[in-house]
Amino acid sequence: MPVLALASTTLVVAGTAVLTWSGLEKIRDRSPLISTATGLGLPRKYAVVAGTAVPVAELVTVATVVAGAPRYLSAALFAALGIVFASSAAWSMATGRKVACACFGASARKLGWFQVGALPLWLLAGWAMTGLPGSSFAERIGIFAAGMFALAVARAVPTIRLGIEARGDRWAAGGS
Amino acid sequence: MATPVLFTIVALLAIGEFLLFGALAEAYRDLKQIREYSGLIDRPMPVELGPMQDQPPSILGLHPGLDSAVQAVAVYLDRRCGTCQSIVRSLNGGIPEGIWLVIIDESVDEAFTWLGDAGLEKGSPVASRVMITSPDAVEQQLGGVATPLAIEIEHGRLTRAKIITSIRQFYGLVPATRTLAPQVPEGVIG
Repeated sequence: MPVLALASTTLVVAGTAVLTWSGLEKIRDRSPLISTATGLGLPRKYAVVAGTAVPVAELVTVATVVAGAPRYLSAALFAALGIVFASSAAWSMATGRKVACACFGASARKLGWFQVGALPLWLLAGWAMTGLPGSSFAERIGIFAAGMFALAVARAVPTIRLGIEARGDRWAAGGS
Repeated sequence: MATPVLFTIVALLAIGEFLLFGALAEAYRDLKQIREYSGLIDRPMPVELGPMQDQPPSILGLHPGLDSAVQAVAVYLDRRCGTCQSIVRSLNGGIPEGIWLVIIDESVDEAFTWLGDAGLEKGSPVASRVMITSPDAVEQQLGGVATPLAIEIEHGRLTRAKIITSIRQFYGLVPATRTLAPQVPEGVIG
């Protein structure tokens, strides 16, 4: 595989993985994102819409990549999401609001320079999408299934650790 | 045709697993918050050694052999403390390497009767790492102490002290050098 094609594939896979994790976490619990949107000044009813629209847009972007939709559509979605994230962070900084980022669900991290700095990466992922080498649906769904399995494992490990801590506390408190 | 369907099923199952583990992690975080508010976190509580810091262990009336120990832990236990009772019950006739027990009791016989229930008999080789001290002596040397109190000794000096709140933490005290030291066969030097 030529270097450029490999770099494009890597960027798109990384971007897709980030959007999958972020979209699934936000769709599972919409309240942190709704709270962020409210914190940015959106009226409550629009914040609720944003709380659904953003994760759906993230997951739709992933779906377009896996399904093999026109590349410019996926590229436009990558870029649009990057612009939404960066402009939200820029708006929060410009207006002096301290708003939780809710980037991957509930988080104490604030919106700020990190999201602004990530904009070129999202644009790069969008550009990489247009240069992605041709592939069959079977190949794409295979890569997605493997990636999704890896994400599930990455999600499970800290959960199991939290469970072990909880068990330790139970033993400490109750002795059994 | 079968392969893409199979991959789709795997991906969907992985998505389900991801969501379920996410929900479980959130539930555990909620529980952790509740435990933190209730003071039920299994975490040792550091204790200031004050003027005893960096002094030889014998200054506390501990075994003189500890003054030359590279790494050891003296654990103060009291019959009246529930966690101490759990720790003693778990010993099952042995004391982990590097751990010394300091039993706070007025009577040596009563202390060994208590330890005897856990299989630690007076005069047994393991009991050489058991010391008995009176509450008054402890009060004089350390001030008021809460048990189980673990005092760590490094290179013959008292370095840290902490109150341990569980059996798990007691076994976590076993010095790493005892568990990780390479086993050199007898007769081999260096």
